[in-house]
Order: sequence, then structure tokens, then C-alpha cells
Amino acid sequence: MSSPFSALTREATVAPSGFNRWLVPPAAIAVHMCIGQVYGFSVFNKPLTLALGTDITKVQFAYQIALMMLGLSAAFFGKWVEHSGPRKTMLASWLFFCGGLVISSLAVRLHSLPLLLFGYGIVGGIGLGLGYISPVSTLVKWFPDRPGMATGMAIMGFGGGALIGSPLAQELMKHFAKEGSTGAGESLLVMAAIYSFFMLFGAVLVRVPSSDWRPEGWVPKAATQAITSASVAVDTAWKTPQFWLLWVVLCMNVSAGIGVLGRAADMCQDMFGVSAAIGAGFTGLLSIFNMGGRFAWSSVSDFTGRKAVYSIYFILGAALYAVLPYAQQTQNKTLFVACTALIISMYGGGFATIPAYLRDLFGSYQVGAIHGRLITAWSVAAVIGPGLINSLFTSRVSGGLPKAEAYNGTFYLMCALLGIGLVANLLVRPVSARHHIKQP
Amino acid sequence: MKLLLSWLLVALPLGWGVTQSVKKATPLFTSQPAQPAAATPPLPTNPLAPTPAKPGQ
Repeated sequence: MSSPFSALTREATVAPSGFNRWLVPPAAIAVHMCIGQVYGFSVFNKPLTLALGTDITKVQFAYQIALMMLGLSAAFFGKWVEHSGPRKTMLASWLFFCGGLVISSLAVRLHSLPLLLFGYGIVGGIGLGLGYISPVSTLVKWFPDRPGMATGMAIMGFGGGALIGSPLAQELMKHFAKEGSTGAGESLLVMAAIYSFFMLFGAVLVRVPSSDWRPEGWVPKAATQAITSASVAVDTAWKTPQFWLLWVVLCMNVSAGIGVLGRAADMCQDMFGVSAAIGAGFTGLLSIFNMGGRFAWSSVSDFTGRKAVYSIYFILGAALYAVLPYAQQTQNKTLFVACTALIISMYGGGFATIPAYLRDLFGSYQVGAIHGRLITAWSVAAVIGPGLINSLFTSRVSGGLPKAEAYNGTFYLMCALLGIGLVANLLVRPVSARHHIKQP
Repeated sequence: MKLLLSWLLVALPLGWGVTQSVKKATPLFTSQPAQPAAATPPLPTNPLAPTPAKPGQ
């Protein structure tokens, strides 16, 4: 008799013949757009501060723990994800992520900050990491002809999750708020229910291709300098220079983007003297470019190659950053908005293109697990980017520079970070054949 | 049909999210920085007179 959990195994999710591979991207997007809620957590800052009777920095700590756990769980559970298959992983991600939201709701009811940190930060954070890497390997295997576009769609969903999570939470809190309650607890519970529907939909829909499956009419190209037909195991991959060069590539690209994204509203107000509403509008616009760039740039990489597209991110990104001080000096708001929107589209593109870059270098065998370990670069960048931009800005303001001009130095610093990323990218070479495994 | 419904199920919330962000971003293109108080035109004394257009309209 088969176990009730047998439907969750990798073997049980192998697609029957005639299965339409275009059903897999919606499954991946469904999971990613739920876990992308983490980017919209800031809307809970004030309500949770009031509900828990604490200060905002302690509430924000839950978000920071969640992002840290995202990187750690993706790195540690990567091999398990490859072994267990996408359905079991998506279910585990649902249990942890939505479980974290339910515990957070309980934390509001019990006015307990430690419970919030445990629920949203640790439990929810594990769900984020599992959900983030769960569809990557599967998509790469379904779309060997367009891996950039395929993973770009899923990771675009993560960017879209921020656009959904924030207004959804605001609408729910508006609905549940009453005398003596911010409505945050009830909203978290309803969000857990809504997200459960979408994540379970993804888990039910997802399938893996059989090992001999190929897209109709697609003939695998002979291995080239840039794209391998061999496979490298995760335990070997992370010891190669290529892994660490890509780690630097991702870390620099993210650091340069996240520094601006985190201060976008303030920057717009300080540099152009616009109102807070316009500053918030600017952030909204950047979020759209962040999401769109994930799909657009990673799709472009299928035609240009990964190294070329990352070189574009770094060279064009640095050039655009170098233009920003001129936009400030001439008070050209349109130029500023256009440049930053393009920069943020490449920031999103950097996230979305990396799984395909890994696949090109290490093969598709354990690409999800390798991606999981590489995501630690994101966790580090989340500290480096805002830290650098904030400390340089503060020191320039305290040195007597007007706020409007104080950002200019930080833009040149971002150019330098992108320069480091460019060098790392140009140093990437194919993985030595001694690291290849014979029979994946 | 299954394919269409699956894509619709993810496209609808994403579309809603994008719409919300576009709404949020609208003031970026429609509003102007606040003008100095002295530049504000005086209110019409005649209540039936047309209100002067605000900057940016």
C-alpha cells in the first residue's frame, strides 16, 4: 500500500507524456508571488509597533531575520530540495511561510515580540528560502531552450509579490481596524489563507519532466565555451572559482541596486524637493521596473549570453549612476527617474539571470542547490548596500554638504561596486572538466 | 482551458499589484513641487467666478 505522502515524491510528479510545459511557470509564479510578500512587510511596521507596544527597530528585526533565514535555508536545504522535488518543497515552503504568518497573527493577539520574531523571522524565513529555490531547477529542465526566460518568469513573480503584498495588507488592515485594534493580527491571518490557496495551487500544478524529455523539435546545441553539457555536483561547485566569481557578481549587482531602492523616496525628496506623495510614487514606479526587469533582462540573456548581459548591467549601470549627479545639478527630474528606473530594472535582472548563468556553468543537475548557496550573496548585499549608502550619506551631510548634493558621492561609490562586479564577471571561465560528474 | 485558467490565476493578482503601483506612481507625473505662498493667485471674490487652474493641471 502506498503511503499518503507518496504523491509528494519527485517520482510522483513526473509529467505524463503530452503534458504542456507552459503549465509549470504559473505554478512557480504562484509560489514566488506569495513569498515576495516579504518586501511589503514595511506596511506592518507601524501597526505592529502599536500592537506589540514596542519600537519600530525591533519590529523591523523580524524582516531582517526573515531575509537572513531566506539565505541560510536556501543554502542549507538546497540538496534536500533537489532530492525531494518541487512539490514536496513547495508544500514545505507553504507550511513554513503561511505557518509563520499564523504565528505572527498569534503574536499580535498575545502582544509578544519574541513570538513575532520567531514566527515571521525564523519560521517564515525558512519558507522563503525553500520557496525561492523550489522551482528553479524544474524550470531549467523544462526550458533547456530558454532557461533565462523561464527562471525570469518565476523570479519576476517574487518582485510582483511586493506589489501585491503591500496594498493587500493595507486594504485588509483598513477593513479590520477598529477601536483599540490596528487589524494587523486579523490581516496576517487572512493573508495566510489567501497565500495558502496560491501556494497549494502551485504545489499541485507543478511537474518535473522525465529524464529523456526534450522540447519538441529542439536539438541540444553542442557544448560551447559558455554553456556546458556536463554536470557539476553542488558540493564540488561551491569550491570552484566560478562559484565565488558569480557570488561577487550577484553581491555587487544587488548591493548597487538595493542601496538606491531602500532610500528611493527620501532620495527623490531630498534631491528635487518633491512631496512625500511623489517620493512614494517614485518608489512605486521603481517596483514596477524591478519586476519587469526580472523577466525582460533574463529573456534577453537567452540571446546575448549571460556574461554579455551582466556586462551590460555593470557598464550601463555605472554609466547611469554617473549621470545622476548631473540630473541633480540641473534639477532634471525626468532624467533622474529614467536613469534610476533603468538601474533598478537591471538590479531585478541580476536576480533573475543568475540561475541560468549557473546552469550554463554547472549544468542543470543540482542547479537549484547551487543557486541556494549563491543566494547568501544577497543576504550579504542586503547589509553592504544600505550600510554603505547610509554611512557615506550621513558623513557627507555631517561634513556640511546640503542633503541634495550629499547623494552624489554615494552614486560614484555604486559605480565602483559595479566596476568590481564587472571585473568578476569578465574573469568567469568554463568550469574545469575535472569537476564534472560522469553519471548524474 | 487548464492552461488559460492557470495563467489567469497568477496574472490577475499580479495585474492588481501593478495597477496599485501605477496609481501610487501617478503623482510623480502629475504633480509639481509646491509653489511659494506668494505665487499663489488670490481667491476670486465672486463665488460664481471660475477657479483658476492649479499648477500642473
